[in-house]
Amino acid sequence: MNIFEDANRKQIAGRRRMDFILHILFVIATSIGVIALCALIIDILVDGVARLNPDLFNNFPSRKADGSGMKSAIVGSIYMLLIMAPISFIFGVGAAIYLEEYAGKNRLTRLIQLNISTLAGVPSIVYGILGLAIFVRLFALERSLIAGALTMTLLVLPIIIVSAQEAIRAVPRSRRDASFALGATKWQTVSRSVLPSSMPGILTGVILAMSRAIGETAPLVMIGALTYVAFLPSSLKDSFTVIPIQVYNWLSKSKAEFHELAASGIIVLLVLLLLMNLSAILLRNKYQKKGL
Amino acid sequence: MPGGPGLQSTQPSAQPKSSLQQKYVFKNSKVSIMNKVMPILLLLCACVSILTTIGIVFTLVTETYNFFKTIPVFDFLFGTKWSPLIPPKSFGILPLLSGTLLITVIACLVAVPIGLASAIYLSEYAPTKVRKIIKPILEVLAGVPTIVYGYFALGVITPVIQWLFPSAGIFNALSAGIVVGIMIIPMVSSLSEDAMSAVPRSLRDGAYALGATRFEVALKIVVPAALSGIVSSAVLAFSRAIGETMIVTLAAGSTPNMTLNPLNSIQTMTAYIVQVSLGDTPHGSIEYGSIFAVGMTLFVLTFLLNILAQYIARRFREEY
Amino acid sequence: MEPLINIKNLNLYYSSFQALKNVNFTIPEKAITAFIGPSGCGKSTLLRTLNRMNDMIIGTRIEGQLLIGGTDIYSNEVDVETLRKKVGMVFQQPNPFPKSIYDNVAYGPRLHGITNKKQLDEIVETSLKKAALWNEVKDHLKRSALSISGGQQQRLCIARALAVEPDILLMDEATSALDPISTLKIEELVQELKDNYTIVMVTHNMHQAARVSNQTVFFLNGEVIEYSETEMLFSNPSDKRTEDYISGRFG
Repeated sequence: MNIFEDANRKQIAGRRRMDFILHILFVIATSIGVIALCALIIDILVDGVARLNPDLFNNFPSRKADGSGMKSAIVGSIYMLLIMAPISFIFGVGAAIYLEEYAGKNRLTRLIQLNISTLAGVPSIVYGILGLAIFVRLFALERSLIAGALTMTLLVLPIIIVSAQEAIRAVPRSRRDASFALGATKWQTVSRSVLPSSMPGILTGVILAMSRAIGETAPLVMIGALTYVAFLPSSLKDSFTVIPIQVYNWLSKSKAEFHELAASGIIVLLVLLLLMNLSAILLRNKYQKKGL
Repeated sequence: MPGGPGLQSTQPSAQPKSSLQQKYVFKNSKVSIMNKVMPILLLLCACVSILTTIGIVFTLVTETYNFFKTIPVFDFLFGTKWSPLIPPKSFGILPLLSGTLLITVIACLVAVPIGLASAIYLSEYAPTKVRKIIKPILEVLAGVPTIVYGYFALGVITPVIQWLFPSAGIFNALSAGIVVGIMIIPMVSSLSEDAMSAVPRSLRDGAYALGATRFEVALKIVVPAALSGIVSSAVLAFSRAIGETMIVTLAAGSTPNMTLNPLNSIQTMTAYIVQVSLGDTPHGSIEYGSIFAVGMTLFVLTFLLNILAQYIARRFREEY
Repeated sequence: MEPLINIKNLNLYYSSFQALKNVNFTIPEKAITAFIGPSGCGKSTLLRTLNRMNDMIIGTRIEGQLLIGGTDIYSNEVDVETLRKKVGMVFQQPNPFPKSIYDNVAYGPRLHGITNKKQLDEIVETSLKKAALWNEVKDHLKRSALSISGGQQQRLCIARALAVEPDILLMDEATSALDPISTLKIEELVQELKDNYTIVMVTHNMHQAARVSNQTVFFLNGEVIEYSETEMLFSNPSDKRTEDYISGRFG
């Protein structure tokens, strides 16, 4: 008896056809994401490449599109990152160490963890509202660089805490055991063994947090990062602007030349992001090779 | 013996082998300050996150309370006209709410099917090499700043829509909604894929062994098993779309408008907050207060949705 | 010779589960004592009470006395870090730090306050020589500890433990993850070390215990069934259960 005789060929063929069709549909769906990304990049490059000249980096924005630059925005973004990075690192990594190494399994710990994951889901504009009320008004920091940096620190803190926690958790128990068995105190084990081992993962998280911060617009609009800044901030309390806000400013104008400028500003932003993310990937790869 | 604490003998023993004359004292003369102090400092760091939440809630609640001293809650929540700057001033939030919802629904209609389909493809169909390329690309999509998406909406999508529907204005909900949807695709895709990966291989193997095709396994076995995670990802996408600011500010318009027609210009809650902040609103004025009232509404909505998403993921999760 | 370690009526609980029941025996100085028994019998648990490593498991509770050199190591007077300096441990899986060979051995002394480079160099060399590893690595001390073989890594862990100058060395199935040749090298090493250190080793391989140790302790279900000189225990065990285990009827 041939076991294939009973097979309902028609039905199987029908199901196979369905599988084929759906496979194609799924591929198309997945491609939409990819195509959208390509379209986005191509469009921006086409629009903005023409205005990628030294003026963009050397000049301040002006009323005329030709000769307008974004020096103040680039410098403002970089200053903001430089202020944010150490503050968010200390508080973020500190919180992560506490949660992973010291916190007991009690209510306070669960509350803090829950709190952090809730904060990660809060829209960025709400952080702007918080920054406006607390840093700008309550602490009377005005619409300043420091107010902006502090607000953005709060925004990215959950990101840093979560990735630092993961990095610390990844350090195997045996490493801690070895350290304790040699007579180390808890803090010695954390600072001499756990932290060095988890530092690459932590730094990767910090870089990713910074790249999120550099692209944010809404919270800084709320803080009052000005849209027209024709000077470089020289102190923490100076007003400032950042690249996304400068781009927004140009986009809000009606003339097409300003839209081209906006596109070139976006290219600058994307290149910065690319560099940051590449360094995060390189960092991760370098330490994966070391077997950490 | 190198420096440090440890063995203190009361008297040296004459025979090296006898040890009872030496009493071991395990005592350290140095006290480790760092070991005592650091846990406290670290706890303080962890408390910053709690302070942040307290700050958000406190700010929103107090300012909203002040706002409601002037504008009745009922008028705010159920009023259908939002005109905070132009007299006759009216603070009914429904137009902003409907604008937000219109965008969000369009965005989810784009993101959830495409995201889910991508997840199914990557999880059940795609060969490893393809996965290795596509996954990073989707991650890049997730990392693009929203202002860039805003540019994309204004520069590419809006003209296409205007070409397809000549009645559409430069600012319309459809363009913004589509782009918000594109932005959210990676979120739905990666969360759904995580949910599907958690489904054990043995379930799939069982189905294949019975002669099922790939789509049957995907749609009849894997998706139902991962459903809680998939639904949760859709709810999170919804929440994310509600909170989106720059795309809608640039592309959807600034005219509060209760309409179901996506070709119209509308204003979302987030776009309104930006609009007021860019202007010169005196501190303490009712317009300033409206920022917080709208912000509170936004916060409550996203907060509830996030809790819902977590609840769904936990409560309905199939334990394997 | 007075015993260095004296265990009196020791009971250990992990929350409500009793892992050690009324353990009573002594361990002599400068000799090798082996703990044998089937898995889950409590031998590793007891080993870890000797340097209080099980303090780190939540819910652990001890009753009874554990005297090392006359001092109850569970009393409030004892600093656990100092205890662990005197009672070193080598684990089943070699666990060198992802640092250089030099830094691995120097880790312990640095913890306890030694920063002088010359002193550290000396300690590193001495410890690596004691662990019979010096000749193999002396030219690449700066290389990563993960680049050497498993057997060498375990000897590195022994060197690391010896660098803080303990009196007692605990070995928790230290050769079970290694190949036979490395195992043999370490067994030879341990025979040399016993002249200067008191060694307590847990082993699941009773032939190893018979080869290497001076005293053997047989555990079953958290209790010490029998302990005596190794030759005696293996040739003429006094308890039937010991005899059954040794002849392979269970375990």
